[in-house]
Amino acid sequence: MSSISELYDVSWEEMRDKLRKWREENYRNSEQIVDVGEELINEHASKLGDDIWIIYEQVMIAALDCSRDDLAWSCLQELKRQFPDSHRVKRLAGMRLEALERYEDANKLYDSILQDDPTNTAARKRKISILRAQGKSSEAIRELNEYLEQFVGDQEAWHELSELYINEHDYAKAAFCLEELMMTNPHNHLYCEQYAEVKYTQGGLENLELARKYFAQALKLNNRNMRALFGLYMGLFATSHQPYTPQNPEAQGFAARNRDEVDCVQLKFQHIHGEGLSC
Amino acid sequence: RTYFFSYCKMLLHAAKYPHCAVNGLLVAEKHKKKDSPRDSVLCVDCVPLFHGALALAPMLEVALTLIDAWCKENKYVIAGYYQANERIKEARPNQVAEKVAARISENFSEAAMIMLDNSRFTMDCFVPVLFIYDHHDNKWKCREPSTDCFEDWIEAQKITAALLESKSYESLVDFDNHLDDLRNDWTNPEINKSVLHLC
Repeated sequence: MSSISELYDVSWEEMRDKLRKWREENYRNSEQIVDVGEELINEHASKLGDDIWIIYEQVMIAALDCSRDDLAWSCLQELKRQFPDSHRVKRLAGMRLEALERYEDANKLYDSILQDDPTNTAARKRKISILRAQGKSSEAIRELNEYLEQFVGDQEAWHELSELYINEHDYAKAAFCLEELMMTNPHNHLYCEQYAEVKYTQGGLENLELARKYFAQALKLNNRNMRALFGLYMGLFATSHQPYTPQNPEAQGFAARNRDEVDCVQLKFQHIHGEGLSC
Repeated sequence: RTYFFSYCKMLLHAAKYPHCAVNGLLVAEKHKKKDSPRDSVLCVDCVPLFHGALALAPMLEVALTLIDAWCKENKYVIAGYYQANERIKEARPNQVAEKVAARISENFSEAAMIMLDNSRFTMDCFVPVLFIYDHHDNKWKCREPSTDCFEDWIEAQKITAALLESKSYESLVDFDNHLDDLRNDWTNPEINKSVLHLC
C-alpha cells in the first residue's frame, strides 16, 4: 500500500497545510483526514513542532468517525501525556466514549468537567449531542434552548437548533433561529438562502412572498448561489399564480410583477447553463 | 424489483455521508404491459438527491421537476423513493419519506418506498439491507425481506462490495452536489461506467 505522499505526489508541508484548511473550514471528510493525518503523525511528527497537538486532536476526532479506535486511542494517549489536566483533552476522551456508545460514562465525564468549570460550553454541547444521538430530539431541543439563553452568541448552536427544528417539522421555530443568524451575519448568503427555504416550506402566500425576497437577497449577496436562483424561480412561480381574494388585495399586484420576473430568471438560467457556473 | 445500478448507487450514497440522512429517487423503464403482475416493475437506475436536512421543500420540488423531465426524455418514470436515516438504529420511514413516496405514487401507482437498514450495512454486503414498503389502502406496508426483489442478487452484492472497497462513493454526485456546482452530473455516468465494467 503506497503512502499518501507517493500516491498524490505531495510533500509533508502540503499535507500539513491541507489538514489546516480542513480544520479551519470545518470539513467532515474524516476518511481523508485519517489517511493524511496518520501518515503525517507516523512519518513526520518531529517536523510538525507544536502543530502536532492540534493535529492529534483533529485526527482523533476523524478516527472516531471512521471507527478507528486504535488510532483514536493512540492520539488520545499522546494528548493526555502532554496536557494531563486539560478539560479539552477530557472532552476528547468523552467523545471516544460516545463513539463506543458508552453514553452514561461519557455523560459522567462531561458532568465532572462542568462541576469544575460550569461555563465549559464544549462539555454542554457534547451532552446535547448525546441526546441527539440517542434520538431524544425534544430533550436535545430543550437543552439547546436553555444553553442559548446563556450563550446567545453561539452561532454553531443556533444553527444546530435550526436543524433540529427542521427535522421536527417546526418550521416557525427554525425560521426564528435562522433570523438570529442573519441578524449577526447579514452578509452570509447561506443563512439567507436557508431562511428562504424554511419560509417556502412553511407555505402560504405571505411566507412564499418572504421566501422570494430572501432568495433574491441571497442571490444579491452571492450571484452564484444556485439554490437561491432556483428558489427565486420557484418563489416567483408560486406567487405569480395567486388569484385576487378580498383578504389579500395586493396578491394580484405581486402576481403580475412576479410573472415578469419569472421571464428574467428564465433568461438567467439559460445564461448560466451555457457557462456551467458554480457556487 | 431492483437492478444492480439502483442498489449500488443507494448504498454508495449512504456510504458517502455516513453522518447524515440521505435520500433519493428510483426510476424504472416505462413499459405498457396490460397484464403485468405487481412486481414486474424493474428499477433500472437511481438518482441520489440530498444529504443532511431532508425536510425542506423548494430544492426537492426543483429536483422532482428536473428529474421528471429527464425521465420523460429517456422513457423512464419515477418509480420509488429511498431514504437512509441519520441514526444507525433508526430504520422507520418518517414524515418526509411518506410524503415524498405518496407524491410519487400519485403518478405511478406501484411506487415503492425503500428504507435502508443502517445497522446491517457492511462493506461486504452479504445481505440486502433494504426494507421495501408498498402502498396498500393509504398505508405503507413492509414486505417480507428476501432477495427476490433483486434482478440478480449475486451480481448486485459483488458489484456493490467492489465499489465500496474502492471508495467509489467519493465521486458519487447527488442533487445537493449538483446545486453546489452545476457541472456535477447527478446521472453519475462515471459510476455507471464502473458498474458496467464490473459486470
